[in-house]
Amino acid sequence: MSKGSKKTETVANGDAVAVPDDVGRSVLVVGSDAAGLTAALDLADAGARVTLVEEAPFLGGAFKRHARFPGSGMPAFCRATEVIHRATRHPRIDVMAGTSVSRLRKSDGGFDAAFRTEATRVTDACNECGACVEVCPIKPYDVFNEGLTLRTAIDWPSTPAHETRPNIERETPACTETCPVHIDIRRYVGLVVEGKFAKALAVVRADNPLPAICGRVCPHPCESACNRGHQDEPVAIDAIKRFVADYEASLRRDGKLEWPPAPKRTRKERVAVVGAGPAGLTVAHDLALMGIGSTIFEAAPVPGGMLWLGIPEYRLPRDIIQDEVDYIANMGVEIHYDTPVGPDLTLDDLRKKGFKAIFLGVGAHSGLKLKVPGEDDFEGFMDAIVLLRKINLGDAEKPGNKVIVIGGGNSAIDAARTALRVGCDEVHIVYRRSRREMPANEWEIDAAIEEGVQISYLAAPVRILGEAGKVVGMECVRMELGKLDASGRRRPVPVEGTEFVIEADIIVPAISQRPDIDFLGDDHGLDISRWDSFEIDTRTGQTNVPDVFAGGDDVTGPATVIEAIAAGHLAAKGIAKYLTD
Amino acid sequence: MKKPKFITEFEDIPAPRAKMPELPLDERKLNFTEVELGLAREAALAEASRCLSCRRCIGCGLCLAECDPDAIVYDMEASSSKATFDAVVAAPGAEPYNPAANPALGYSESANIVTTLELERMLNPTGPYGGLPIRPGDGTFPSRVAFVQCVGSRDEGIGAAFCSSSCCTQALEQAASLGDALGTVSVTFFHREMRPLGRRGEELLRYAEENDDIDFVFAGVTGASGVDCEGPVIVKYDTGDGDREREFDLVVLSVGQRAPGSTRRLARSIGGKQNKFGYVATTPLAPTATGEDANPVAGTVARPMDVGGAVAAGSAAASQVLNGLDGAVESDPSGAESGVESGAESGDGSPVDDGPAVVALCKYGLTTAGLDVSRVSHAIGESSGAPWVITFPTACVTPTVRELGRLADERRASRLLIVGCYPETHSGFWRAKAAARIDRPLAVEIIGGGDGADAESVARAAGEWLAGGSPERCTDDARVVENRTLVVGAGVSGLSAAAELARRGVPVTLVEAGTELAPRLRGAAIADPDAAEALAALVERVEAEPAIEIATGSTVASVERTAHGFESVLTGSSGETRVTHGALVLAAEATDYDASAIKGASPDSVITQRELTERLRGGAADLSSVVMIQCVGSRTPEHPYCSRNCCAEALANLHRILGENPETEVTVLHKGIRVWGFDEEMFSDAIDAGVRFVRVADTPAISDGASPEVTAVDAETGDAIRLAPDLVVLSTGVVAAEENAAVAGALGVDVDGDGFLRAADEAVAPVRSRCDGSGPCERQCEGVFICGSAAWPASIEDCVTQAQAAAGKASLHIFTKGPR
Repeated sequence: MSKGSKKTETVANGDAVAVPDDVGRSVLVVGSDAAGLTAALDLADAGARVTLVEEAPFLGGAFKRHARFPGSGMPAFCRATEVIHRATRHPRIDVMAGTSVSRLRKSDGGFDAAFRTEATRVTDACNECGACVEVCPIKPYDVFNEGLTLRTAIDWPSTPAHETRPNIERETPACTETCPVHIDIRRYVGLVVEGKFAKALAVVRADNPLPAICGRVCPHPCESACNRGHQDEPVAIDAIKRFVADYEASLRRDGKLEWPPAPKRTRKERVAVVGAGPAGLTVAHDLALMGIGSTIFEAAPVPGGMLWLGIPEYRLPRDIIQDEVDYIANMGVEIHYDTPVGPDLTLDDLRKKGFKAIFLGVGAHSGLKLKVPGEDDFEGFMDAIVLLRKINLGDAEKPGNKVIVIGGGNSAIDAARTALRVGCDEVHIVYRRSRREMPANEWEIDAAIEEGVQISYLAAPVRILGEAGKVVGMECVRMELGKLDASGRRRPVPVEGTEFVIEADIIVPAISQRPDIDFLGDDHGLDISRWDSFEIDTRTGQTNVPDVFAGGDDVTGPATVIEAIAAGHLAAKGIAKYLTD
Repeated sequence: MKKPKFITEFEDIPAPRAKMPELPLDERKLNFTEVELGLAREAALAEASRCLSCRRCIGCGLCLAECDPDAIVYDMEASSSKATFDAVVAAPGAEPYNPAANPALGYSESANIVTTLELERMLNPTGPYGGLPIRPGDGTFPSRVAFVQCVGSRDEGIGAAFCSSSCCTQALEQAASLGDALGTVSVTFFHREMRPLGRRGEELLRYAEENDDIDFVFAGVTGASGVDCEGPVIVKYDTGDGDREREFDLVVLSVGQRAPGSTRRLARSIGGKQNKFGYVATTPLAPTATGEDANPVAGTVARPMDVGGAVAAGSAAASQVLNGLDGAVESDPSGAESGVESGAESGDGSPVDDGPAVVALCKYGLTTAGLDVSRVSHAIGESSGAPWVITFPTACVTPTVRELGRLADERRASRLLIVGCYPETHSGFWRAKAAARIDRPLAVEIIGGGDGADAESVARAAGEWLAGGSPERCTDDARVVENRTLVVGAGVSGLSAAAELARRGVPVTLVEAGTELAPRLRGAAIADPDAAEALAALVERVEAEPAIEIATGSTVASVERTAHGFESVLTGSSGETRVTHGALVLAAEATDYDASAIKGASPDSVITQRELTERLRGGAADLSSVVMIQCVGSRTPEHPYCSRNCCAEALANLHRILGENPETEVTVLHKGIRVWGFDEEMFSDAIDAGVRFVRVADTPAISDGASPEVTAVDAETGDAIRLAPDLVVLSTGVVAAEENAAVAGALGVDVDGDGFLRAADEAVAPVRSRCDGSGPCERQCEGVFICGSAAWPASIEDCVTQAQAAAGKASLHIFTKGPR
């Protein structure tokens, strides 16, 4: 890789020893595509000392994959070979392939940079004989060739432009890479094949404290990334996770398994966690593992936040939530229900009670306005979040007979399927675009249709109709893809004269949600975005107020459980560091 | 990434995905019982065994056992390091759009629906199929290929209301390559306006339009699907009169560019900003810098562009860093030696002894040079009697290099001859490879198949070398050159180049035929007020710069090469001036097409786009209707090229009119709206604002008189159009400046038929001039650089980028030679 690196020397503890320049000044070039290679060569030719950093194991990026450059008589790779060869051998260019810039900061008129270089698992002793490639039994897709063929686990494309050694690839699989909390999926799935369910669950728990919940409601981006999907269909990773989690729960239910002992508390500080949603629960869980005690303050009478209040029971049974919350409570975490932080329990009160740090994981529970005439005028108009919360807290009385849900996300589908279950006769979903654009999970949409929900695609609300103060229906207009315009686009436009009325006594907008931060009062001093979410340092979860951290929907807006868990992990680390410093 | 279905290695793991058991439908009413029931133990085990373990290294140890030098270390850990730098150039490249995000395009479903990136690999001789474009589904040759343009570009719905700028040219290049590789293949482009970029792009489009096997369909593609690996792929499209379908063997999705995900962090670290599409924000007059500190950024991270654009941006960014460094530029010969593998040095590769030689023919290199490999091979065998003449598909791929090393060793060869490679660029590569493989000294020579070479002349050169001779190489004697650069033309390119050179410490003589600096661009042509202000500041800076001598109202009367560079004679009002200089930048900006003949008798109601820009500075007059006519003097038989900026200028002006008076009726008569990059948004906004765009077959006619009437024929409907607007605006194109060609001709620099200068290589050497072949040697153009619309109609961003790149290269030329 970096032949004769004079710029840096890595020592065992990761610190670098600065070596003075012999020639010119030093320049970092990030990226080795056409522009980066050219810049590096021009700089080095002019006397500067260049460090050329490339994330991929080999230089050249898209530049060297071309068959022909437009406008060049030469075949592209002949050109690329020459340019890459020159960059690699240039005495003033330090090539760092397989390296990412982990930190880059201005300082003293220059820059401080930190790098991480992936292991190639092949040393300088390699004589490029190629014997390893001959014997390797592993056949992954050849990424360099856009997956059109297979290669071996030894990444060493046979193009001429390779001036680097072979690279034995043991990096993260696509599923783990994609998972927001990076569960070692390959490992736990392998353990399931061997029948080692407890070990498999331990692997899951190492990164995800809510396995049974996620096994049910995670949108599992890992499955979308799964390489098996190229063959036929992705591995049902989420269902396997659910299986191991349920398996352990069943053992515990049958009295065959005890709770694990609570981790020892090694630190005297306590942390206040506001909100018992997935982000807050994860923070408490992680802190407990680090020996730091915490107390969760939850406004609702139940745990889980949106998991309980927003997700219907037919998707996520309450005993499952309770079981995983109990698991965390058994780690020594205190949970106070019906204890909203607000005027009666301010952040300052928490500080006075001795909490050394506060985590805000209050979610996003405030429905957005529809912005059509009549939405504030009639009884029978209620946001999906309000409807779901009412029913999920046990009020199973049907709100009306005919229901219209407006929107295409998961909460629209949840509201519609829930309405059917409490006995509503007719449930309509009105969505302005076509099914292709519907953001709800595909399988949820299918289930809703199977259960009898009627969906009107390409229809948009015009006004809410009411009589005697009550909703009686909604006027909609058909949308259609407009004519092909001069730029070749078609976009949905309302079709004049296609207005129609859907009768309803309940109208449920499910557009989106945003955080409700009124509970903080006016003088909280926290930076708030224009979407009413908390501004944080994305590396630590810390807000602008040093002892206050935040994460989950109240930072990102409505997102997934697994993303909230990831935010919880991040904040827990940030809090632990804050308490130590 | 998608699986080619004819690869069978995975068939040992069949088993379909487990189906989640569910509560029956009739049991779901009036209760909240869980619907999904979970997998049973056996089902979970079976499902888990479907995992491929992702086929990465499992540490089996087989390679370790085979590795002779014990070079494999399984538990090698990633390492971290730190360093400090004086400057950072951000050039992280672009990411392709992933078409799997739009399921309607069927990319994830069908192996025979591929991206342009996949086709690029297929067409590459070092690619997966040895350069043969086959259907990944069943390995057969396609006879009907469709290209779907604008996949992930020009699409507001996915936050990409920009044109990716490079895809049309790339797809056209691929269509031509498909024809070369397959002989007969019919190609259909589903496009939303072909927008080829640059000279090669336009040549390719013309080639495609004249080719009966290639056709173009203006349509929105609504979907694509392939039922199985063996069957056809159906493309569904809409030409404006309903949905249609057509069958193809292979469908290629022209995927757009995206700024990489790392841009945000990188931009922040260097004090830069992002634009709304996630690209690093730059300004027209500083297109390769971002933020208050003007930190250099290069390439596709700032805007979508092609390889030539990225290379120019790389040079421009590098030059700026060197501006900021004190005394970094020094004439260290080691840099020159290692950086530029000169032909002169490879020429002295005379045989070490007269031991046996191994002769390797690169089939790919010879074929692309238009030579028949078997004839070359035969001729070399005949003429030299060389014992080992071996043909390789591609000589420089790793396995071949390994094989050559083995052969040379086995036969105790002392000489290696590569035929069909590029001596100017690849001698360093081969010498380094030979040194790495063989312990003994091995003389290496490369004989190329350059322009005009035939099998016999290549064989003759090979024979001479094998017989102990040394092939003729041109040499460049000028070792120390004058520290001055002559810049021809003081438009935005010339001014940028002069300013850049002065900052690099190179004195400049800036010669401009007009009477003032930026004659064309100072006033009207820059519609954007911020850019106009920046240009005014640039003019001031150049005027105030002591290192720049300005010669306005002057032209280059003669130029010739001397021992220390060039000597030029400038003539102007004050007589003749003699200038000696070490480098030359040809930057005279293209001039406006003269439309006075078309304007006829109504100069007030028929004006040019540039005059409108000027007029709009004083506010839009109360116009009730405006007709804009595009491609006046462009894309005509007389001037077949696109002038690059007229559509964007027209769109900017019509928005300005509508901004003040939304009621104005604007009609644009065009031959296809061509705007690139972020200018696309002006186009879609104009459509949304109700501007009428009518494609016309021929240039519209304008009647004489005080209130002109415009007549044209709608190209789609064939209907006659008759319009009587308040104002007719002619979007006039540009014609090449004569000053460049005059100088170029004297030095043997290649000028095309339209008077634009040719680059040495539009992709990888976009600002180096190309030799016209009149002189004896390839190096006759050394020290001559070109930029901006001297080379081809260019946007302001491209002009400035190329000017800075040319300035950087000119400085480098002077400093590596050694300034006198």
